Amino acid sequence: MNGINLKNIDFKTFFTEATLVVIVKVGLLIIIGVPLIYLLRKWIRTAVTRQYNAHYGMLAGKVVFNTLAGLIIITVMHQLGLGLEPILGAAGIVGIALGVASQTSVSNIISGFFMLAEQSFMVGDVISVGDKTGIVLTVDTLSVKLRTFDNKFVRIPNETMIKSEVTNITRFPIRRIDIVVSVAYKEDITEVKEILLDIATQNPMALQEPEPIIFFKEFNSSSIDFQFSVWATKEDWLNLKNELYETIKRRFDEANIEIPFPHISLYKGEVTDAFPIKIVNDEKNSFEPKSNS
Amino acid sequence: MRQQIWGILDDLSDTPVWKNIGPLKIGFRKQFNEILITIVEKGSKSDDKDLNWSRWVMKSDRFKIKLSPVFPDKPIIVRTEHPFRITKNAKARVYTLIPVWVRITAIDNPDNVIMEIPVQTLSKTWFGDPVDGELCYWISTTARRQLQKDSIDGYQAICSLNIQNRSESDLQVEKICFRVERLTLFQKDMELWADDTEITYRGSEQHSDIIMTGRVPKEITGAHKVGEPRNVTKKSMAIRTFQRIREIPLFGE
Repeated sequence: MNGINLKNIDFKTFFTEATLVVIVKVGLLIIIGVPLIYLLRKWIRTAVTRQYNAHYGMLAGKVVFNTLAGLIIITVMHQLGLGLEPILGAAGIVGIALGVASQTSVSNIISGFFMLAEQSFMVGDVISVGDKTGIVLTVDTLSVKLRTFDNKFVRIPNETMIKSEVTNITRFPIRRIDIVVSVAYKEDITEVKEILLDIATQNPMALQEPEPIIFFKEFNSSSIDFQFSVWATKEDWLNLKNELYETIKRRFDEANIEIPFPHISLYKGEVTDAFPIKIVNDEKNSFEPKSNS
Repeated sequence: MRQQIWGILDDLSDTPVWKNIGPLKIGFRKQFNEILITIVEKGSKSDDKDLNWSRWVMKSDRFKIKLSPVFPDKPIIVRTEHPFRITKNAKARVYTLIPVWVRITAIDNPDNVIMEIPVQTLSKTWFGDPVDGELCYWISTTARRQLQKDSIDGYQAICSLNIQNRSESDLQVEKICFRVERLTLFQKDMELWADDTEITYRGSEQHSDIIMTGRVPKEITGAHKVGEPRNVTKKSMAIRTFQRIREIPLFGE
């Protein structure tokens, strides 16, 4: 096998003035160009993020970086006397081979383009995909990166994103809080509704419009259930939800309104008489049913 | 007799100076080159040791601070307790009372706002479409046709609106989106006034023309300017003012 033998290279003829100029040019291009495009990417990303948002900042940064990196590669190749034609030809063949071998990666790349075009979510949005919920960090060529609320890093392939149901939690500026409020059958429904409405009216985080709604949900096994729906800005949503639960409990306690837990009545076969229990001996902690004869 | 709320505080020391503003009591203290501020609700029984003092270090120990009124930072939806209709081509002048915020600045650096305190916590509301509407504050009040000055507190600014109906139908005035962040504040004696606002309604499908005149309302003379608008924009603008919130599907997809 014929290899390159350094001993056979005539360095005197190899390092001509022209070759040295080319090496210096290529070196300068790499030494200055590469840090420069990283700097430009950072600058463009920051500027666009400030002007628009983080998502467009990320996209602009990628476009600038990839374009300039391509230009540097082409210029370096040109300086080295390498034409683009054989490279493109080889890239075509290699591309087909790689395409067949790496269908998943190609699918992820194409899915990434569809996702960017669709704009279902942006960098900084809170999304749910399957059982994962988190803040979108980046939308990359192959995957979307999330940071979950317990600070885990989650990578979801673009193909999975395209195939899955994605919920964008923070897309719209306001959100509704739905709370199921259960009260005992004995309670005054009008009073319950008045208290709930007052809770929503008094809380400065609860939006007055769209109006808070209270509607009857169902006669449950141990309670009458209402749905209490209040709107909040997405920033206030969690705090308001917590406050509403706490306030409902406090106000119901003050008004002696019972929030029931499941009740089970046992009967021994007759509708009217409850199942009798008699404690016979405290020490033995035993009991026996009383005869009903 | 009402206490003068607005102006310069130049006699600060380690002993707290208290200002009663509406439902709030704001305390000020000075230590070295620090200003210390605390806010308590009037009538709350808190000992001095329980007070939570916020601290700011100033450029020198010879600082003076200024309390000035400023309108809230978002538009206000004024819901009239007694809605009324303005017939075609008719005009109405109504008055509303808007609670102001207290802006605390250092005299030597008025651009540096130390703190802004809403005297009254207002509820929030959403004006417009749930997808691209805007967040506003909410006041339920009587849009008065005549002023009753005895019921006005020192922290409430009197805002006068001239509404003209140029549409082909009656205008039901139920809620008004009042863009207070574009209004100037004037003071006459102990009263705060906003500049006159003129609204021309041209129909539900069109925006209303709003002109912040920048003029002191005709009812008062000898007032002086105490607060600039937060957002200085063109005096005239076309914007929705009476639009009711669109139908929001409550249930289902």
